[in-house]
Amino acid sequence: MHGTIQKVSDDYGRRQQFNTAIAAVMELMNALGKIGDDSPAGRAVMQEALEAAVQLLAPIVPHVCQALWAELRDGANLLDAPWPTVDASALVQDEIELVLQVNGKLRGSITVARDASKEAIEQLALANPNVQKFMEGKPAKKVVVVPGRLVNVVV
Amino acid sequence: MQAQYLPAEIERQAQAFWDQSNAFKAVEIPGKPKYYCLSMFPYPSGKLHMGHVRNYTIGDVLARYHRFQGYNVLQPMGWDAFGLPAENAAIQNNVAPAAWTYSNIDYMRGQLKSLGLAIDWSRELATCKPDYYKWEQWLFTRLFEKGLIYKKTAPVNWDPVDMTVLANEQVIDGRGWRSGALVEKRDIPMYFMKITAYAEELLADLDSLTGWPEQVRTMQKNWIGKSFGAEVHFPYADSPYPSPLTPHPVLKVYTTRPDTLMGATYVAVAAEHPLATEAAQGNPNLAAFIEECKHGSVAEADMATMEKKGMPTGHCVVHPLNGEKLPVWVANYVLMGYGEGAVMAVPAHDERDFAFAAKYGLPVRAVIRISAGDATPAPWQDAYAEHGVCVNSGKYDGLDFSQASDAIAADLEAKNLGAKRTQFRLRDWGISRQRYWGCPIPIIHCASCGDVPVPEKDLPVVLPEDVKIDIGSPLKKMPSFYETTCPKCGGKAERETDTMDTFVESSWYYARYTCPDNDRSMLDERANYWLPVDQYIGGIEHAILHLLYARFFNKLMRDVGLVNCSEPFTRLLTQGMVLKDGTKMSKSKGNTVDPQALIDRYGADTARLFMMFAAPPEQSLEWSDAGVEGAFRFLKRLWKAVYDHVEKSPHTPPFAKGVAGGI
Repeated sequence: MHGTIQKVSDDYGRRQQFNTAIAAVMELMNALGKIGDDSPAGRAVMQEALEAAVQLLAPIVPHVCQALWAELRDGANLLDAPWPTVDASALVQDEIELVLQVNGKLRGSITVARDASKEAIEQLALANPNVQKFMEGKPAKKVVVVPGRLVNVVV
Repeated sequence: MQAQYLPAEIERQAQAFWDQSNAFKAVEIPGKPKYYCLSMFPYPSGKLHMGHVRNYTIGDVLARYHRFQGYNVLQPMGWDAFGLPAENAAIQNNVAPAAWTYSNIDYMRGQLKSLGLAIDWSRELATCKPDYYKWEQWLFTRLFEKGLIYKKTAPVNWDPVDMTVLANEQVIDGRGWRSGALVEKRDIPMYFMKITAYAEELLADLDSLTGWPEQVRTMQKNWIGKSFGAEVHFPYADSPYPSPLTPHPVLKVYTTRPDTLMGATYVAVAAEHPLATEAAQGNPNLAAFIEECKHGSVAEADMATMEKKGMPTGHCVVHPLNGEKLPVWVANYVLMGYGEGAVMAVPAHDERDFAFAAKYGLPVRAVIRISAGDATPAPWQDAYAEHGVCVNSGKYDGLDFSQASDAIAADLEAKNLGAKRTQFRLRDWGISRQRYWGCPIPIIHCASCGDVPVPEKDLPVVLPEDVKIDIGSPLKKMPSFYETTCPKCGGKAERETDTMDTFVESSWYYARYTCPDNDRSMLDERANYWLPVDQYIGGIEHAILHLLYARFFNKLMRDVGLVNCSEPFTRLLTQGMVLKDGTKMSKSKGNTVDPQALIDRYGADTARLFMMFAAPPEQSLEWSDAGVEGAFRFLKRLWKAVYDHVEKSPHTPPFAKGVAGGI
């Protein structure tokens, strides 16, 4: 989300490319659709993301955003809200995606913490249902971890 | 929360709220960073077209974004309200131009408001109102006194049916664009603005406009057209020269190719050149030809493409370096208004001279070694005009372009027959129009005092609005308008009945928005708070004339102490066209989509979103019904996402899975 704010701000101010600003907010909306998290924390994230989407679109579709902001913020006037600021620390992704291979063939992916240890990654890979399926019950001879990129299980 | 996305209701409410809270009223706040965002103001033609919607949405997006960023934003709007279409509509619909214009303004203002633009409407102005053009007249009188506006008789394109002067672009294939009548060249007295006095600065300051598209800067640079060359004097070879009409003992020409002087085989003068006038006396054929030349366009572009025609004057001049006698011709491709109204013809290395020489059997002498070789046989090749090394040029053989130009200019100077000279293509701006619906030129013609500017206390010279339009300007038939007394001697005198080119009004409106309510001066200190305009948005078709004139006016206003800045527009965005089925939307092609129907059906937000999403601002935008639908669906989705979120119970079940991660 902070990446979206940063990109959209740059699109409006420096690049003056509004089509890509809109596309970035659309992507954000797509990502929101997949959350489906009703926990208090999940709802807080949803609130923050919807507020950002409404603010980022406000220069282009001001009427609907004025109305939606009032709903999100209990009647507040969108024009009084300062532009969302980018939290630089949030820009650093704390999770990364690794490709999963069995005998060098692509068999899916896993998401792990950026600072996960080699051992933890190996365990997660071996526990992955798809990897287990293609291991066909054979033991792993070797597990190769290429940091930041992939895990290859050799059977 | 309302479950449905209902744009009509939402937009009405939002606009009413912005209106009532004066949300976009701009007030000068010293110390707060300002952002002056301006879209080129519309001509009140009747209703908005898609190009307007695109232009004003782009401006509004930038204005609103900067407002959110904490800038003190000014986004004004007004009307470029004088001009020919109002007169044409008046003839067709039997309604006065003023009434037609004001009713269009009222309708279009409503349309603009329905787009939800963040405009400070308290600064709205219309250029046809006396409280606006009074200051234009005031500046005119100041510039007239400074000599920056002067009167000169000049050849113009004259439409004998509409009885008016036509701009070059209003002449199509030698005929008036509206009447279809054959256009004549006619000499009439006109007022000119001395834009050439600023040519050097207008050129140099282009380098500082780093926020402008490179293309626009290049177009202006070429239009100003600074060239380095030489003045060459050809002494007359026979009597009766010098004579009363041509008192100088030499015929002066200007050339950008002094290196080709040794290849000159004749000299050509414009039909209006005094030498031609004189030679025509006692030569009826030549007189008839000169008369023929006076018809047709004065546009430079037409000069290049039209059929070259000429006639010998029967007189000769002497080549200043080799002493040969060269015949002098009258040629229709030489313009009196450019250079000296005479050219040295080098058929081997100039396309127009080449065509002319071929037609009339004049000698062709190649003097430059170009990529095609040392000779220049027919047909013409573009390579013949290349720079190269001199050949067949005696002592100049082997010199390249700049060496030869320097050497030849030095030799001419030593003989007192010429010198190096820089020259601009830019010409002074003729602003007189024999039109009614424009700003009256504030001059009084007195038989004893001459042209007297109207004193400030008598301004504005108000244009009567309740008139009948037929042929020519009604002002010329209104003694109540033109009969007056001379401000100097008090004797009987007549007002000028011409009006100003409407490009004059649009040259300074951006400054007047900063203080439209000032009835004591043209501009005040508020201009220096808001100017220069931080962002200007408009069509690329204004790359040269409007944007050059506005830059010129900014410098004029600076030099009479009205503004501090030297350039009016810091950043320029030229938006692309709106296309449908691959061609520009236009009434004549019948492929227009009415923005009002779009707004009525989907709402302004959908129209705005579609326009901003379909293409980057500076590129062409292809109209797409599916794209409009898609924009509308996205807004419905956005609405539903917020609705679902807001309507959910805030007490979420504790067994919700997972941990919220980054998005």
